Amino acid sequence: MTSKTWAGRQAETGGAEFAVGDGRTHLNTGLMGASLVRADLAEQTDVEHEVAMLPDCAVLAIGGRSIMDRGAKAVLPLVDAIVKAREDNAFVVGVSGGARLRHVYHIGIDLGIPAGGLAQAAGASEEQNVAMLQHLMARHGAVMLKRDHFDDAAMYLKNGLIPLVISVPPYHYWEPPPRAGRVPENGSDVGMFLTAEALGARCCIFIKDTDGLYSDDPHTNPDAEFIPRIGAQELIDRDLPSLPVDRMLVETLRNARFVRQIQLVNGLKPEQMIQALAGEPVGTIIYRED
Amino acid sequence: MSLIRDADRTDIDTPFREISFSSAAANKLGEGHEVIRILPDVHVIKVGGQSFMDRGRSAVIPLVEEIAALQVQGKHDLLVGVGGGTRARHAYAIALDLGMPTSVLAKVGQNVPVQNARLLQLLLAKHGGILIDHDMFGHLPLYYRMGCIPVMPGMPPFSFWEKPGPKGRIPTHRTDAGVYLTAEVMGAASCIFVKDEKGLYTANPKVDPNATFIPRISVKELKAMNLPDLVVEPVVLDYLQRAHSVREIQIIDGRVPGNLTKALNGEHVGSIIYAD
Repeated sequence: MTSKTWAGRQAETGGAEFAVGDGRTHLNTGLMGASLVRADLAEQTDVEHEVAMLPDCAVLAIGGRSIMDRGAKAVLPLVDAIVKAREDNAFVVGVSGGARLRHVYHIGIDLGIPAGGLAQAAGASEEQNVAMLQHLMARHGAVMLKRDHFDDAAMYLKNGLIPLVISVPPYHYWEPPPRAGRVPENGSDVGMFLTAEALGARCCIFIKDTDGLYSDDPHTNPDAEFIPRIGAQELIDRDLPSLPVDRMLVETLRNARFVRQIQLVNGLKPEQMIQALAGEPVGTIIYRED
Repeated sequence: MSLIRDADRTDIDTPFREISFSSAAANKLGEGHEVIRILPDVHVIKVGGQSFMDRGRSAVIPLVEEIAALQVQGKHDLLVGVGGGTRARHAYAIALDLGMPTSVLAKVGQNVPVQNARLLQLLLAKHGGILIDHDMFGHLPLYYRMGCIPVMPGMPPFSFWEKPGPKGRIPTHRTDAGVYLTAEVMGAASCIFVKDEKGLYTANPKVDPNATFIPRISVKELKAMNLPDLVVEPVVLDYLQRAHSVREIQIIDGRVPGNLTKALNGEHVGSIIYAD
């Protein structure tokens, strides 16, 4: 399956047995007694192909502010399209927090709460949104997938259900201090992408309220130019004033193993999502370059 | 602050309303605000997995007795985080051999620190040691009021959501990062790594007899040295530089009796790495 195997594999060091003598009891493996921080370990553990968990699954990430906060007018047609798309596609669905998330960040920052505290408080906004989506789609087989119970996902998908996932990554209090400012860098977009990576998903589609990526926010700048396709590094280098997805998502995409591109589509035109699931180049595609 | 309803959506009037979180403007909004320390009197200590727990009785029992004595004095509130060690390496080795990605390694990596935390908690139980997990953070003030010593697994709760690195598959955030981030978010009084070496050396002192001890160094200086090996996970250095509260860590040899007590009293007994 893998052309390049892990360089420290057990067969080369014998079976896993106890090794004593330096005061510590080791298990004899390729990593025995090793410092896991030594510089050459990344190279040693690199392989060309890693094993995907659910490679036929797609991931749909719905915007909180861009879709949910618009209410029935935007959400109901999109829900209909998702239910329809389930006939031909297996996927998990998540949604971000929207206006309430922005508000809790604002109040939290004003109160002096550190980034980890903000991240811990943030999730509840998105859980409200996902609860509403589950309610709307329950009759079509929507079920909540508990946090990291990806083993349940296999069962749900095999049985034609629509698992809904928590979008915010479980960094909680352990959210690393941001490089600038106080807003946690790992939000719902990053979480949905990492969910897709963990599942080894076939695609990851972000459903917002624009036709894709523009050189500036098209809602405020009518001269913003549409960008149909761009590399993740190129996008970072362009340093655009505004992005429709978390900047950290674009940075993380550069190290993708399975989901080597993401697609941004307009949820106000639900057919775009269906086209994207069919592999058509609608909206904007951001891809890992190398 | 009020609700704003227009034809398109229901919004809340905050300064974040119209800006992208990814914009420079969003970063500016957070600047200048004081960050509170949530539990400023708590000292966070990390007991190494390979360096301490895997040594068994000879290393662990004296440390437990030292912690118990500290608890009797009642001077310091402690939060004890625990590492994984050789069983974590074994699990990683098997997972790597099976072609597993970083996300699965991070998930699998959670279990061994839980085992070690359970062992340590059982030893500390009669002195007030209790096992806590990531969901019990909100209860910490109660535990301290009751004189407890919370013991937690060091791995952060990232699980499948650990990001892949540029190369390789060993998770970037392991128990050093988890325990350090615990201290930082709490605004802890100190963060002390209890290991089986005096502290930081220019190379791994277990392998290289010429390794020189570094008593005190800034993150910038340490990074400039570009050492082939390091006593803590490199990501901890990045976070130290960005931290609001815990701007230095101390690595000590917990096998020397009294070292932990001295470090808690603010003495310099090992290596201190500080933010610039």
